[in-house]
This record gives sequence, C-alpha cells and structure tokens, in this order.
Amino acid sequence: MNNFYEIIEKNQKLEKPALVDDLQSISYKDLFVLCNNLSSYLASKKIRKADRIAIFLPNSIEFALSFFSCLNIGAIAVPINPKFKKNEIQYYINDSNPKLIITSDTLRTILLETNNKLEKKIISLKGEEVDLDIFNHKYLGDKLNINSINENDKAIYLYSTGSTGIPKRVTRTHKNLISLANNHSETVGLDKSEKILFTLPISHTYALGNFIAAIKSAMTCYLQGDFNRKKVTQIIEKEKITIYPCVPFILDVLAQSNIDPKSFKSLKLLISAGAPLSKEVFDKFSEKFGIHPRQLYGSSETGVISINLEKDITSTLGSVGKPVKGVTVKIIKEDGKDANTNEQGEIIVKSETMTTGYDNLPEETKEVFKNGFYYTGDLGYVDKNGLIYINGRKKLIINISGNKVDPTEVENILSSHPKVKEAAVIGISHQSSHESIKAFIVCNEKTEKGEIIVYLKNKIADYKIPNIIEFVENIPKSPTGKILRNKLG
Amino acid sequence: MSEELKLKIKEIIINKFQLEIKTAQFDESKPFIEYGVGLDSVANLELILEIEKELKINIDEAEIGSEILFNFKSLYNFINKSI
Repeated sequence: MNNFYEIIEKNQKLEKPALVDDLQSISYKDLFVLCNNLSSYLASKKIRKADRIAIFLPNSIEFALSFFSCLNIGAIAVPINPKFKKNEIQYYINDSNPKLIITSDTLRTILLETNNKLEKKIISLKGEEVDLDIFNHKYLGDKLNINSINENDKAIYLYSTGSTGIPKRVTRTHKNLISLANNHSETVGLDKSEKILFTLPISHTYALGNFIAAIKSAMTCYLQGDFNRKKVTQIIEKEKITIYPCVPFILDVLAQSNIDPKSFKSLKLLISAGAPLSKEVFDKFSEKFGIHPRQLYGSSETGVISINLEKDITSTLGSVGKPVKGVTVKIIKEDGKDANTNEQGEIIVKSETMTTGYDNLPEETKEVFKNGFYYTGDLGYVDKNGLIYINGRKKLIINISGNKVDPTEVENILSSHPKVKEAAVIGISHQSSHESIKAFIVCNEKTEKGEIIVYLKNKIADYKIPNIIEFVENIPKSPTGKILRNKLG
Repeated sequence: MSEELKLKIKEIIINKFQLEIKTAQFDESKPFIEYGVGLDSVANLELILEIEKELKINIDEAEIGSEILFNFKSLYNFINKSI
C-alpha cells in the first residue's frame, strides 16, 4: 500500500464502525464513500497536488474525513490546533499559505478575527450553518487521479516547537505516514477487534501516529475533542475501549479521581507519552486500575520511535522501551562517538517514517539532521536489554502536560508589552508529573500581574501563559547577553 | 459554614497558584484572570482535583466553564450548590 486511499479502499466493504464522535458514527464503508465525496468536492474547488489545506478543527469525524481527503487528492494537510490564538493562527496560516481552510462555524469566527481576508478560503464542515453538508453530499464525479500520487510526495505539515521563538515546519511524505502506520501497528500487534479512544488531538504527531495505525488496522476510533473524566469513563466502560493513548497528566488525574476501577477493565493498552511518566503516577494508576501504563517515545520529526511492551513492566517502567519496527536508535556521546551500554549521551534516530529536515531552515536542519540520523536533543542511554531510558534534554523547551512550550516565544510576547522592559521564562517542576511556567519580568513602570496575563491571553494559547509571575529588578545574563536560566527559580 | 467554606476555597486557590496574598486580602469580585487563576485546562483540572480532595465532593469539569471560573464569587456559588 502506497497511500491511505488504498488502505481506505481496501476496507470499503467493512460495515463495522470506523469513526465515532459525539454526534455520529460512520462505518469503514461510509468512510470510503465520504472521503471520495469530499475529495471530489475539493478537486472541484481546483485544489491540486501539493496545494495546502489547513484543517482547523478539533478531534471529530469531519477532521478525519478532511485529513484523508487531502491525502487522496495529493494536497498537503496542515492541521492547526483549534486552541491557538490570533498570533499563532496567523503564523501557521502565513507559513503554510493554504489554498483552503476547513473549519467549523464557531472556529470560522476566530479565523476571521485573525484576518477577515481569509473568508474566501474558508469552508465550514461542522456546525449549524455548514458550507458543505458532507454527510449528504453526493459524489460530484470529478475523477481522482490517485496514481499521480508518489510515495515521496508531501502529505502533511507538522510543526515542531523550537527554542528560537518560532515553530519549525516539518514535512512528512506519504511514505513516512504509511511506514509509520505499518511499523506502529505491527510492533504493537494491532488488529480490527481493537477499539481506541482519542482525547488528545489527532492533529498532533503522537495521537496522529496512533490514529493512522488504527485506521490501517481497521480498528474503531472514538474521537473526543477534549479530556473529560466523566465522559472518558463512560465511553471506556460502555464501548469496551481496549486502547487509550494518554499523557502522564491524564493518568494522574484519573488515578486521583473518584472512578470505579471496574469501568476500565476492558483496557488492554494504556499508552503514556508527551512527557516522562513518574514512578509515583505509574504506581498510583496501576494500583487503582490494575493496568500498567506503557511509555511511548516519539517526535514531530520522526513519528513513533519506541514503546515499552516489556513483560516485566514494573522493573522497566522508567523506560520508553525498544525501537518500533523499522527504527534505529543510537546513543552518541559528546565527542560524537557511539556510547556503550548504559552510557549516557544524546539519542539519535533513523527511520523511514522521519522527515529529512526543517523547511526553509537550512542551518537548523544541518544542526540536527546528520548522516541520515535525527539528533533528538533528548539525553539518555540504552541498557543491556536494548531498552531506551530518557533522563534529560538539551533543548530549551518547557513541557506542559505534553504540550511543548518554547520559552523564547513567551519571552518575545512578554517583551512586546509596553510596560515590560525584558522578561525571562523557565519551566519549574510541578507536582508529580509535569512542569509549569514561571516568568521573571523587569518593568518600566508599576505593572499588575493581571495586566500581563490579560495581554498574553489574547496572543498565545492558554497553556503557554505563565502560572507564576515574579517582578524583578534585573534578569541575570552572561557577558554575551544570554539569559542565565539556571540562576532563576 | 459558608465563611468556613469560603476560607477553605481561598486557601486552596492561594496555595495552588502560589498567590502572594493572605486569605483576608482575597478580592472576591476581582476576575480570576487577574490573579492568574483559571488560565488553561490543565491548571483548571488541577484546581478541581484539589477542591474535590479537600472538600470531599465530586465535580464534573464540563460544568466548570468560564462563567464559573470568572471570579471567587462565581466559583464559590457553584461549589456551595454542589455540596
């Protein structure tokens, strides 16, 4: 199989549910028909190979149909997190320059507030007043030229959080995605009897990898736009969900909440990724629900790298496991030489699922894509059994429950406030499993914390806003003007 | 009971968000956003968990929208009804 059209076509006779969201359920048979319909509609809008289509939607059937329809016609899908604010949306739209933006009625308003010139590009598929009633739309007859799609054609733009204030664009090809779906599903042993629940955005690399592997395996995917304890518990119990990809924060919340452990008895695989899973959360969750979370490791640049499927999970719980099929992992010491077993170094990855560089950023590409390997910036080691352990990172990134935040981006926005002279942002250890953001601000005149927060609230996603703000006289810096973050805290 | 409950909730919020104020200084009408409270879903869920644990109640986070997390008064009224 060279593309997702062939995968969806292969399953077109299956009557079983493929996608289930809050409003409806569609079978694999429906998925094939609806994707053909939407693909043909997009083709009728003069969308051609390599044109970009932004998808500004939460997890939903409409998101999934839009994504696969983009792939069908050779367009490049550009998922944009619906939680982003004006400045962020503007950046992604400017950078990707989409010919069309697929969204919902409510999100349309946000897009237009960002730039009212976008109106002509917007198509609403979800809500009360849709531009296209996708579920009743008849096939227009524009023939899809699937054969024109080459495995090395661009399929999706993802964005990797950098440490320079600007997200880096990562292009993944059809081959990258197909390999990811194959390798992940074969390593985990997915089959069509499984039911998987998504509360994390499938627009993001972690859930996306699991999602395309699930579709490739003809599983049933339950799509939820947000994490809600009551709803998650009801769905897992009622639908007998077998796989649930989480972040440690979700596991922590579930372990602390008043939930009957019997509700989760159908779960076979509970995946934890996005941030390190602490022993405390692992133990709390395992004791309460009788199932052990399994750590998965991946990145926007590579897709899934490894997963811990060890039989003896209690003594290897800190490991992200062994590389999935088709992925090579090495540990490189500071001198560039290969590390020995248990020896610390930088984790580097080679795989047919990974990108070859950052678009339009030759310097950044040269820095981390070397000799066919991607240098992850994560520090760790491999033990005698081949298990990977991560215990640090070189990159200047704050991890907010799986959401990566570039401190420089927050500092730049803080410094644009008229009363702020300069600012520094750090991540501080927070509770048992994650970090939160603290900002140190030097002001030109007396400023209230509230003023700063209201200012940020309009400009960046909520999870990037510092929880703690401290007004200081100065920011410690090196003689070259670099912020000395280790002196802040 | 209501004053005791108010005090307890204020303590939870002050501790959770490391606010540099005493409970007596907590302005019940001041928008939470100005205190840096209720900014994102992760922090909100942590606050709900803390309230559930301390007050031994169950809350459905779907009911805690921006109107409830507008200020202390709105949150207190919601919790008071839930008890």
